[in-house]
Amino acid sequence: MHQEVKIVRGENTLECILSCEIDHHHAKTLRERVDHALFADKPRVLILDFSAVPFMDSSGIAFVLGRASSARTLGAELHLRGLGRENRRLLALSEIEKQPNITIE
Amino acid sequence: MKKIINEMKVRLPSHSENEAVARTVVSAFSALIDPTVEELSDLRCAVSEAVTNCIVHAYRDLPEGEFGYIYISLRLYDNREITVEISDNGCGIEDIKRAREPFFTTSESDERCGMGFLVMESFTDRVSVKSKVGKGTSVLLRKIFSPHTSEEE
Repeated sequence: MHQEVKIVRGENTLECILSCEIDHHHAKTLRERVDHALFADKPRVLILDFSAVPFMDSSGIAFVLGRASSARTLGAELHLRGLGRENRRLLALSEIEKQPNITIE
Repeated sequence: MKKIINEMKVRLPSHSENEAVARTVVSAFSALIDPTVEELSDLRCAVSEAVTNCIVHAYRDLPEGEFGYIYISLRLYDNREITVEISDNGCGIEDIKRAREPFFTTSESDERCGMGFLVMESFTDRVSVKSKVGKGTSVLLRKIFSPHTSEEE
């Protein structure tokens, strides 16, 4: 199975470069891998990079909202990077910009 | 009076790997009328939601290792309209109106956000839902692709 998430550790950041379709099938593995690294590292900023995500449905929305919630329990920010036009439109449906600890690049 | 120019029926076991298969089938079927990238992406997303609902909700009470079938019926019309009907023989929906409300979900164990129907409604032109408790659910998605303009892009 190809690698679905590459994790890059910085001084205060944890960057997760996602590279699979984010649907219900893949979401559980992604969630477990990102949360595992997040709670182990306790960074100040969790960065999710979507540049190599070819497709996302509402499981992607749940994934983002869930990671925002995980980050909040650690007092961390969630930064979203590399969102394409389609994925931005999808996330806009959930009014993600209203989440207190999410920033979108 | 619109005419059917192509049709296709697919039956898939309710395994989560088949969410991607269903999206690929819809892409291949739609290619005949050459939708825009955005139109195709919207339809793929809506289909993914409906198929996921079958897997996550319709057949949730089946014993471990058992599966149900998801039936996908596609039709393409001469007015650049596509219909995708996704149906199952699962548990059915008790209150369709409530199920369609944004952020409503009955899934507690999994991380779900209750946005499936909102995505379907936002990314297609019409969503019709029929359901009978204990019998199954049928979701009909309808989308009209924009008129074909050659020499563009």
